[in-house]
Amino acid sequence: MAVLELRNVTFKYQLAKENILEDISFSIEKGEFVALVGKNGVGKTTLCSIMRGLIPTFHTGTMSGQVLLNGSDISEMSMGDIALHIGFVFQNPFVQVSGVKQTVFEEIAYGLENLGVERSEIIRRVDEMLNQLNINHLRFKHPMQLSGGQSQRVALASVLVMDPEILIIDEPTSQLDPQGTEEVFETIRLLKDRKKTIILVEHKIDWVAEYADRIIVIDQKQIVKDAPAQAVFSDPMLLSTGNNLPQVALLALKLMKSGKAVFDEIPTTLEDAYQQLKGRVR
Amino acid sequence: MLDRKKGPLSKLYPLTKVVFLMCAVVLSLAFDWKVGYLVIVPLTLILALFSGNFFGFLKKFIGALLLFVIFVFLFKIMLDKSDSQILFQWQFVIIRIQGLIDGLNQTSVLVVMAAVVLLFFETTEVEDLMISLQQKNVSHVVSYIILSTLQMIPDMIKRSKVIMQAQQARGIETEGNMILRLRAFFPSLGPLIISSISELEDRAITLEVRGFSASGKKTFLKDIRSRNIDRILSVAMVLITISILGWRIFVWLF
Repeated sequence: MAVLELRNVTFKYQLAKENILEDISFSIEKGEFVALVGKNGVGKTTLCSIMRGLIPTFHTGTMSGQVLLNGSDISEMSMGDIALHIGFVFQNPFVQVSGVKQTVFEEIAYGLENLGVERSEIIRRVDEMLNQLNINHLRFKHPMQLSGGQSQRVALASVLVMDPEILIIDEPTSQLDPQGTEEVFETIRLLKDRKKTIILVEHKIDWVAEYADRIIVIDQKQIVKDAPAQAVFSDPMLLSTGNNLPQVALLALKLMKSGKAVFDEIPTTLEDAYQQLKGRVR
Repeated sequence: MLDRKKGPLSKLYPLTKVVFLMCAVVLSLAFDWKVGYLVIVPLTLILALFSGNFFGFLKKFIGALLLFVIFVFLFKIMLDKSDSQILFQWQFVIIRIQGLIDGLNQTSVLVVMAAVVLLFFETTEVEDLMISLQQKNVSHVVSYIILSTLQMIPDMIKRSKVIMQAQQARGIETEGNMILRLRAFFPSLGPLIISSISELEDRAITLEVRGFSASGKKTFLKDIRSRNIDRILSVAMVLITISILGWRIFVWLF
């Protein structure tokens, strides 16, 4: 059974003239890593809010269709119950602080306090998360005095520590340097290994190609492609939707076009490219 | 965990200190200036020695009250036309004992309140107070509202600085004489209020994402517990206050 399913979802914001999303349907199986791809303003964040049940409760508008979480209609569930199943890290890291905690350690622990986790278990899990995301040095810092990258990692840690079965992560690396990005994706990989269901919005296509199983491309209010990562990222059609292809795929296409190389299938990750090229290059 | 408040008083259960605060205020209301100025304020100052930051407390205490107390005393002394004994006279300035007593009576409750409230916050984390209230079955929503409201003030100051810097970057003069500063300050209020309101929605979403409205009992990272010493002190303070009030009523009636 799908853990999350959208059936013919259409949404229009309250004061908008047009729908932001139309007739969106897809289902996500347990343990899948799905990336939502699309240019700015196509409704990726809106879709995340719909999946988390924040629309139409928090962001009002006209919505039709259904969102099912483990087979139950999300609109009939309470926000507190949804929090037990779905973790949501949203775009702006600076507003993802509780506003009542004085240190990063306490901030990360806040969700666990709300869920009624025992104190000793809270300490163990927060310590583990601080180490995993490499932010141990921030443990006594005030959550409002962090840089963008630090805030982003603390926001991610605050949600991951709650250990939800589904994670919706909206551009978690927008303020991170390459090392921070790598650390975040490494954490996401660990979550994938633990069979967590991950829905990621990310513009860093090369990273998405390395990690995601399946890509959903959104353009003109609708899903224009929903396929395995290799199929989406090797198709130049993606360029026409305002998105980019991974650098290795672009290189492979350029080599093929100039007749310098022929590939069995367009590589989309460094490892793919290496495997296909290693026998040909001296 | 980081222990931000130092000194033995910070180790007491927050509600024990609330009991002291309430007893002190009740007694200062029930008696004249002598109880406030000669008993409660000196006692609070002695207790402040155990706050771990006596001089910080003293600075805040004097800073908060000095102007107000001076103003009330001058007002009372100047307006006093009683026949009481003259303590000091220089040209038209006459200080009579009754004016002085009126000033002391007028200010004693406020001085006591300022002293005990300042000492309370000097030795208590607001979050600890909220945890102890939740332990006494106060709703977590109520305690969040109190806590976030208290912590909102530094956030808004910080945000206002950012807005002023943005105004400066656009070439608006924000420094100089009072009129110039006021002219720069008032237009910054609009963005400050609007950005604060828009952030409220994000804050609400953040709380929901963190299971704020999840059903079931909440737990606390901080280990805030009422010990025997807290119970003994609380009972003793309440009994002493009731006894003194009882004696006061008895004297008043008979």
